[in-house]
Amino acid sequence: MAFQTGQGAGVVFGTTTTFTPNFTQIGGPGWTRDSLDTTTLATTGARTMVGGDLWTIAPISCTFLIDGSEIATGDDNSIDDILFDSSAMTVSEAAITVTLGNTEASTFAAAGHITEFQMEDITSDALAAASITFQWEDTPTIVEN
Amino acid sequence: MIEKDIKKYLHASTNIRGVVGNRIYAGRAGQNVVGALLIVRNVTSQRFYSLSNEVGTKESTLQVDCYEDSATKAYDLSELVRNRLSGYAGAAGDATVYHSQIVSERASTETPGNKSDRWVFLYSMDFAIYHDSTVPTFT
Repeated sequence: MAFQTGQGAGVVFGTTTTFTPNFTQIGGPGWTRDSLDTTTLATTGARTMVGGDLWTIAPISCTFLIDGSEIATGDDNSIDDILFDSSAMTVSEAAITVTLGNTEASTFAAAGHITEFQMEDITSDALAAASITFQWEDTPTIVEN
Repeated sequence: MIEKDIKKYLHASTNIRGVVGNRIYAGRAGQNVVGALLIVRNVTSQRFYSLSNEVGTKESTLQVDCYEDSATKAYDLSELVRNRLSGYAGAAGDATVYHSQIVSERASTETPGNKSDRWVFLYSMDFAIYHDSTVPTFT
């Protein structure tokens, strides 16, 4: 067992190969579900609860440094490629794969779509950065490598 | 070293050179230097990383000390430095500066030493400078 940092982690959007920014953070996969209150008038002591049947897949936000000279089509930070031009990401069900930083590169992957692209405030005292958020459309397949 | 690059950039200014001549030093000045002078020191630097590697930009805080024989002259010299460097982006020596801004400044004096009766007047500015940096190749 070897616990490691996120060094080497990555995310791939469909078959898009031109969008390869310097990611500084990749949101962790998350699942949530409601806890349903089954308390009745006959319940004594404490309320009773039961888990909902279905999980909600959390959206994932990733942040990256943005190079202003690399934002045209085909460049590493191309906004057009990831949002509009690419045949991959304009299709709703493109596979989005998050790769962990472990040496063997375990993955989480499912069809998904991008829900937000946001450049951070442009200031004189911080590196330019942006974030992209995607939503998996089903629970991701987890592959331990 | 960014302080040497900034030293070269300041030295290329005829206005600054007109006051200090070649007395612009990176790190420290010799004990026998006479006249107005500048010392450029690297106080601290910060590197930036993505999840895959170090990125090719670094932030360095440089202290530029302006020495003169009166408080007014020290301030006037600092104004020449500010005019040259504050808000600058472009080539500096072998480096490329992406942005430069003053984050603090102060006036001070140094008491006479070694039986001298001459006070030294100093005006210091700290510049936060974003500049290029090579990305490690692990060779």
